[in-house]
Amino acid sequence: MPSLAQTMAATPRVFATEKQNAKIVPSQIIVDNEAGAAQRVITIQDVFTPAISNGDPAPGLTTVDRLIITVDNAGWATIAAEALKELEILGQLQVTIDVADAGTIVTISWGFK
Amino acid sequence: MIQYLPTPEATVGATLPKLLQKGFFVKFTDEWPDTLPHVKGKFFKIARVNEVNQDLSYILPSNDFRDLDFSNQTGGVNLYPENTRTLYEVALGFKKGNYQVQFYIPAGEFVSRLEQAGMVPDVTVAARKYLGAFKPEDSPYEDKRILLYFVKDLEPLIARTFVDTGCDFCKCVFGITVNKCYLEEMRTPTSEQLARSKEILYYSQLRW
Repeated sequence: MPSLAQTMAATPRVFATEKQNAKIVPSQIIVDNEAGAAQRVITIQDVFTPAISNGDPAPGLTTVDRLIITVDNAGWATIAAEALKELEILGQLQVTIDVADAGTIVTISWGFK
Repeated sequence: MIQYLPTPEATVGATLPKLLQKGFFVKFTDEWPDTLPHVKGKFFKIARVNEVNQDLSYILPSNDFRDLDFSNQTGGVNLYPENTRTLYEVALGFKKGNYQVQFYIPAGEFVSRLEQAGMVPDVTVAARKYLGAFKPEDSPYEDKRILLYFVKDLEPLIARTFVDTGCDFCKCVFGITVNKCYLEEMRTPTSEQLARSKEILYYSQLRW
């Protein structure tokens, strides 16, 4: 099961590109803001281009916010598998932060379904 | 040419393989059209098989659909044979999601319908949205239960893939196993061979 830790010195951060025949299912998300400069808002995003459909013959790049976490300054947030089991990422898994901060570290583990 | 294998209530005796195997017999009924003379009313022995897997996926918005053409025509996904001596037995299953599939052959002609006038599938009409629809749990990706039979020049089979309301988007993943069967014609099959053969119906026989 892949896992990746990245500082949020830049935003957005890509954690996993789309796997064409599966959905990405995060199994654990840890936000470490102990060294962060302030309270931070982290957003887990799903980025994809839908297929052509009857209602949309020319679909464009789409970004959907799947989860938003606020982490106090000098705090941590851990979300484990049980709370994430219904969270599915259809396309690319990426993370944004309200203000880029090298002191904020996001770690995500994921599988495929 | 379309078969659905329901979940068994019980198993009695030895089990048979789900897909056609070398040495099996197939019989195409006389209802197959004159435009398909290479199979119409003919009896074949399967000389060899080769299973080829394929996955197809589409991210579609809620309350919208996409027509998936299985044939080799422009825009199709090229799952029809090109050789008159080849039968493609296609096992189709779906990964879980908030979507459903209704079959048409050829385009615009419903495979599943009821006898009352107008009782045909239509995803734009609430009362008939689910009519004749296969959902992912009907044919799971890991236990494919929908079998399709394609020969060269068969009319295009269309799978209308509809994402139901209640989500923003859905990733529809089709798991496909193409069992390529090389056919060897038998002009005078024995009664025992006929009894053991798998009968492959033309779609008009399914749509009575």
